[in-house]
Amino acid sequence: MKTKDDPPTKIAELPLTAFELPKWLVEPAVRSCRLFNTALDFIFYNVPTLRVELAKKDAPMQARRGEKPPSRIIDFDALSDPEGSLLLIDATSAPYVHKYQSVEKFLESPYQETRDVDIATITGVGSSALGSAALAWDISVALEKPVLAIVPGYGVADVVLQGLGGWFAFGLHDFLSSKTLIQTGLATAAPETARIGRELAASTPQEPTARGGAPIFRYGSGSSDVLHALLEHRTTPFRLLVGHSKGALQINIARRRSDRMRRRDFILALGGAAAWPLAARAQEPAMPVVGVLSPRSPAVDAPLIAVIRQGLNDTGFFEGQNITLYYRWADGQYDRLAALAADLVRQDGDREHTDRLPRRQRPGPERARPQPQSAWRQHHGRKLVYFRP
Amino acid sequence: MRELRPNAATIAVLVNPNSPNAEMQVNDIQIAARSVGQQVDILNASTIREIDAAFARLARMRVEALLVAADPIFFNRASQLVVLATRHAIPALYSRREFVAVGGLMSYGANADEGYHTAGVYAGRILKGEKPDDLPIQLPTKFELVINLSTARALGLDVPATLLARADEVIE
Repeated sequence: MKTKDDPPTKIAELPLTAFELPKWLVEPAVRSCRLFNTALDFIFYNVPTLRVELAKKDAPMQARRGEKPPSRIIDFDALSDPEGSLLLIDATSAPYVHKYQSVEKFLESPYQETRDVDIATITGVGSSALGSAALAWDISVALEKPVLAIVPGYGVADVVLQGLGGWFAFGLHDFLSSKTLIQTGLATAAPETARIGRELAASTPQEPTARGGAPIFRYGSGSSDVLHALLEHRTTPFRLLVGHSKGALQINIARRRSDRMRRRDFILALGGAAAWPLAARAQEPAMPVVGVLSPRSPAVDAPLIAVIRQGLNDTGFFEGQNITLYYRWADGQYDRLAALAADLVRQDGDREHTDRLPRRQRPGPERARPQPQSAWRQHHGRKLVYFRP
Repeated sequence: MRELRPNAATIAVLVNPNSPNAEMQVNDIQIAARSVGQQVDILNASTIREIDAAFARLARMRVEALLVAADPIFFNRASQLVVLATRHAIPALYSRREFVAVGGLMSYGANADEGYHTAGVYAGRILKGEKPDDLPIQLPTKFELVINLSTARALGLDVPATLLARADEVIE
């Protein structure tokens, strides 16, 4: 077995290169299947709602022109996430979506929310990042808790299985372990090809590999291997596992093979499309908005922002419940601060059209530098509390 | 710093000249230095490259002690500064605990959490209708001294017991 520290095996050193499919042949095939699956995600999952909700929370899925997405927020531009990832989705607090590309990194993450999350989801069909995020988002909104979405990645074995009528014969393929056989065959004959779309699966602790270093599945598929690793290695047990379509099957496989699965863990399998009626969202009361402007990055600031939130909580304000926080990060580029501040003010202005509160009740627009010297400035007659940490 | 390096001929001070506080910081330091008869040497840096250049100069000058002024630029580059100080074996005093946590020698400064907490509380109070003008201007009340003993040992420094006794936190 290959250990983690081995250097990646070069394809030229392998005797089986003849079986390796040329890149120009594999890539378009895998890509078109991914695109097709991403399109299916739009039908099966609540993707438009996710888009609208994120835009409303001022965390658009696409970076604005000339702006990098904040470091821990996923860039949805790619439409699908070919290598797979773990998305931690929390609809109640910014930055809403955290992305982890390695299971080991996720397990080692120092962040409290990463350690505490106790709901996980696996989608069916093509399981692109979009569909996975949309399903997790709806669950997160409904339960008001963070949700972990496992985006399994999509490689050649999936294409082959899909070609073999995979969607319509989950049970049969599971019984025959078709995907494991296909992946093992690929990994042995054409490791480079087999590695496509398997980055996340390969990052699970002690993932078995074939001779060429390509990962092979231990428990039927990449996502069940990932979930199995999470079940085995995390201290916090999952309370709820939600699977849609073949996702339910992956959960079942991972759970069967794990002896740490506890009785109070709860599994929800969704047969059809996941459409959560979220009537409550339609009539959101206008919430005061506080802009947070930081010269640093979300990762560096996480503990400090938590303290600000604590201060707000102490005065009866809870983010996502009765207050909205807009974050702007300069990521160390101080020359961007002015533009980001202007952007915050503009965001507040945009809100005015939708606010139904009478003007004088609306939260108001001073800028605060609370410590050590406090400077308050009137701004367009509206109130915007602005921190310069 | 003087307690740790009583015989240092000159204490270098790293300041970001672009900071609105720079002038005040330099002034305060010079007043403090004059009162105890300490030579100080002010070095300016506001970019990564300038920080590198400043440390190269510090190494050439064989500086025995360094103060790093409180500045977001330095805070953002905490590990770079700590690595440079370690590489050139310069005992350094920083403004925040985070520097010491990543291997810096010592920090003395206001507890940042306190300020951020107040910021959150003030935001809440303003939203509840209080006038910003009525809110008192507060100065930090909690100051903490943090010492990294393993860094001190690596630098071959003996931390006086009197200094250790006053430390709010000692990192091994």
